[in-house]
Amino acid sequence: MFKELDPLLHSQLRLAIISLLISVEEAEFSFIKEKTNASAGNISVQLDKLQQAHYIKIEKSFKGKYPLTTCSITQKGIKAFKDYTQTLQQYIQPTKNK
Amino acid sequence: MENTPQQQLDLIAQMIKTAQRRFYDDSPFYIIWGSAVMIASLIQYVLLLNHNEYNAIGWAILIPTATLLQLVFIRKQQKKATSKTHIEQVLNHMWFAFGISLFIVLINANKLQLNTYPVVLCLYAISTYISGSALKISAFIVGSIICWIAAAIAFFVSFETQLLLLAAGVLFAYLIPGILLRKLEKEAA
Repeated sequence: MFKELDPLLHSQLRLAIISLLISVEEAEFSFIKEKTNASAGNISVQLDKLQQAHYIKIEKSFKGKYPLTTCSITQKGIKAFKDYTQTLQQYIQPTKNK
Repeated sequence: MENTPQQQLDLIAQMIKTAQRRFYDDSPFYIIWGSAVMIASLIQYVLLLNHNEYNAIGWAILIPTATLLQLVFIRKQQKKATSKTHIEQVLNHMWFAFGISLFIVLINANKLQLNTYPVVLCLYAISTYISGSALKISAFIVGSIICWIAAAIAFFVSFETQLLLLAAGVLFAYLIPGILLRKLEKEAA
């Protein structure tokens, strides 16, 4: 039986964001925008969804005079990402998981 | 758009790789400190051979200059940095610990006498070995081994020869790997 893929992570942009955050301690909004090539509006919407699910933590502060949004992955987010990649592996190599 | 599991895995791999490309930003520190310590050691060696009483002049000029340059680069890096990787965090803590240890050793140089530079070389070797292992750059690991060998030899030689060992140590542990790191940084850009 295939496990169901987490619908929250089964979106290109949200998965890209989580994959970026899993490999860093924290990342600024501009870093996510630069690496994903997505629009600021789209990223904001997806960050909000990930935050509501408690997959990421968002902190708002200032860098000099400018507002700064910093994101980091939570333990729940790490677990969700791990489960998601394990399920993906199951889809790719189904015989191993029977 | 439907994404296949393979496409999703490729996306994950690509994002992880792109997030970790910033490892090489530290090359200026290795180049600055490698050059400063190597040149200061060699200047002192030459001046000692000529019995010059101002033989420590190189240290007096180059160490404050290197410190100043380092502060400028840190400020520049802080402005530019938009993410912090786990390895960067660990290495920052390691360099902090290294700085404190080196400071304690150097302010007690009068007590340590001829044992000062061998201990300094050991500290260089530790920091370089950890950096090299974390960044997976073998030039640093080779440099750290050279530093350890230089440290072991330095306990048995004169102060003048210790200066040459120190210069060789920082050349292989900091300067050459630093230049290599810079090359990798340019290639990754």
